[in-house]
This record gives sequence, structure tokens and C-alpha cells, in this order.
Amino acid sequence: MSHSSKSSFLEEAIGLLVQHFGIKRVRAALPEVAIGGDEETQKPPRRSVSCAQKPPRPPVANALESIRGSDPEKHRLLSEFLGHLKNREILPESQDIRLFAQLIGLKDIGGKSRRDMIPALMRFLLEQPTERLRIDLQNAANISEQQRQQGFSVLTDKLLGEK
Amino acid sequence: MAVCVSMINMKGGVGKTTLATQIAWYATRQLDKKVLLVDLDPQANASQSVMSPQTYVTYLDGGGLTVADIFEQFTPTGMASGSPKKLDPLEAIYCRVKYKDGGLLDIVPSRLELSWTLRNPTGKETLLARFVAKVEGRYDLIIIDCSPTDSILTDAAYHCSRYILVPIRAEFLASIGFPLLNRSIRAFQMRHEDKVIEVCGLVFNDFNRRDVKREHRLARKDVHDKATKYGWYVFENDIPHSDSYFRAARDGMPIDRTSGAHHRVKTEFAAFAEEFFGRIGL
Repeated sequence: MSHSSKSSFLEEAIGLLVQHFGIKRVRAALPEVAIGGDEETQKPPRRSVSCAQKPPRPPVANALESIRGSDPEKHRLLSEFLGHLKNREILPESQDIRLFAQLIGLKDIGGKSRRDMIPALMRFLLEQPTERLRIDLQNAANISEQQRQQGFSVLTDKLLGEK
Repeated sequence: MAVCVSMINMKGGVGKTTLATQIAWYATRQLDKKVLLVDLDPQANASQSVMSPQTYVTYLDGGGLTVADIFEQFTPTGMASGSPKKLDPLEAIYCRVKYKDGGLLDIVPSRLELSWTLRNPTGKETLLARFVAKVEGRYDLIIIDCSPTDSILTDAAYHCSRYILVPIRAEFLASIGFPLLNRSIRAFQMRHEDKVIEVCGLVFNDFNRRDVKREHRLARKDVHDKATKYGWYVFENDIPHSDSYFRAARDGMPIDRTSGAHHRVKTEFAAFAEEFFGRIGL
């Protein structure tokens, strides 16, 4: 069917629908028809395919809960850390998380947003020995844009022997 | 045995430190290599960048050893370490990051007191090479970030190195530093005939990609001509200027993970890095 004949068929069909149901009902039904019937959207979204192939990962909260009995100290450290993380009291920007990941040896933290990165970060931390976690989590408190901007001042104070 | 490469140019501000740190990051992250970065500049910029200013200051305040201690370990009144004592090489190494897949980035930090070594250099030029000999089995690559002067520190770097990488800017004064380097290397080789040392190449660095002015073209041609005369390789992949390198330095991050760094900047650096590692056989 040529492009012009397709257009005229479309106009004719819409005309019939409007005549039968009225313009308001046709307008209301259009979004649903568009989602279900469009050629582009008939293809399954890539995300849903990959989700179907991979078994769902347990939420971080579950993983954290699973170590409560076996490693209470690690559980405490990470639960507090996760709380601070969620409240943006620590590593407030996505770049901070990326930097922290580099610092602790997590090479490629997936995702662009902070929300996407937190589960990957927590899973990595869960695998770390508790002793190392103590040091790493302390360092996290020093990572922020504000801290980075103060770098110059920190160095000049050191060089000039000022506090 | 590790391959040891020194970043040298007698001209300052040509991007030695930026290049040294980014090459170290690339080898660690992309090639999963074990890398030791030696900061041989009393200004300690590589240390401040890789460790972050706060960590660097904390490290010094905590009595962490530096490259200055390597040079001053036998000095009776060694001001960096207090009294003369034999240094445990591992105590002068700070681990920046260690990845699960084997990549490792360690650094021997520097400090301003390294400049004291320049005042009393007698008998110290091989101390760094002795240090490197003790630790090189732990690494695939050792990168030395040198200060922009021909001094005991440069000789110390020559003693350690198999290769020299020369970052250069396409401008008149920067190109003058380049024959000085040639002279310095030749003088060293005359004094140490058994030492094999090779310039693995010159890389044009930190230039404005849109700048095609006559001055730049002339400087670039001068460098090319001289490099050909000396038999020195000029890297095909340049590293154009990007403000993202400043941010990478401030954040202590590899360029490919630096926030806001343009894809083109990352690609250009990766192309250079691959060419560089091909040249040194890593």
C-alpha cells in the first residue's frame, strides 16, 4: 500500500470511528491503541528480555539481613552506611560513589545515577572483610565535591605549616 | 621483571604528571597490570593527585615514607626520616587501589623535602635503582614522574629506566627542552656504557585541537625534524588539550571515569595508550 493510500485509509477509518463513537471516546482510546499496536512498541523492550534471561538478584536489604547472625559487626557497619547513603549524608553525588568505588577496588560500577550504583556498591562491600570495611567506610566520609574543592586549601595549609 | 619508563622533559608544564598518572591508571584498569608510580618531583603533584590531597597530607602526618626517604636513608642527619637507617622498601609504597582481576596501582609518594637531595647529591644517584631492583618483581610496569630539571634525580631515573617517554608541547620554548634532553641522555650513556636506555617516543600533548596557527605548525615541524635526526619515534596519536584532565587530576581519577569527560577525549587517550604499550611491549 502506498503512503498516500495509507493516509487516505487512515483518514477514512478515523472518520468512521469518530462518527460512531464521538471524538472524545476516540481520543481517550488512542493512547492505549498506540502502546499496544505500534510497530515499534510491538518489539519486546530490551530490558525486559534481559530481565527474563537473568534470574532476579536478591535485594540488598535481603543480602544484608542474611549476615545479621553470622557477622553482626559487618551487618552493623553496612546497615549504618546504607542508611547514611540513602539519606545522602555520605557520598552525596553519583561522582562521589564512582570515586569511592575506585578507591576500594570496584573497577566498573554500573549505572549512571546514584540510585543505580548503590546496589552494586553494597554488594561489593558485602564481600569485603570486616577489618577492611572499617577503613573503607571511614574514607567514604571524606569524599564529596566540597572536600575535593578544599584540596588546594589542605595542601597549602600543610606546606605553610598552618592548621 | 617490570618494564620501567620515565617521563622526562627538561621543560616544565608539558603534562608529564598528567600523562604519568593517566598511563598508570590505564595499565591498571584496562590492561589489569600491576603498576608502581614513582613520584620523583619535589612538587609531589602525582602523589597529591593519585592519593587525593587529604589522604596525602594524612599520610605525611602519619609518618608515611616517601621517595625522599629512599634518597636520604643513609644520610646521618637525614631530615626526612630523622636518623640514618636501612629502609624497608615496602614501607615507602602506598597502595592506591587493588582490583579483583589483578590490576594494582601503587605509588611511592614524594614530598618537598626531596629537594634537599639536590643540595647534597653525592653518592645518591643509584639509590632509587637499588630500591626498584628490590620491588620490581611485584610489578609489570614502573612509571617514574620526573621533575623538569637535569639533576641527580634525572640520573636516578635513568639508572632505573629501560624507556623514556617525552611529552612535548608544540611551541617554541617547549621544543628547546627537547635537545637538552637528548644531550642529557647522551651524557648519561657515555658515563654508563653498560646501561641500555631508549627513548620510546615523543608525544604531542596538551595542544588546542583547533589551533593550526603557523607558530604551532612550525614548532611541530621542528620537533619532527629533530626527532628524525635523533632517531626518536613520534607517536601517531596525540593528546589534545581537555579541561577534563584537570578534573581527573583533582579527583584522582582515570580519564575514562572522570565526570564530564567527553567520549572523544577518552578515545584519544586510549589510542595513545595502546600505541605506547605496544612500543614498550607490554
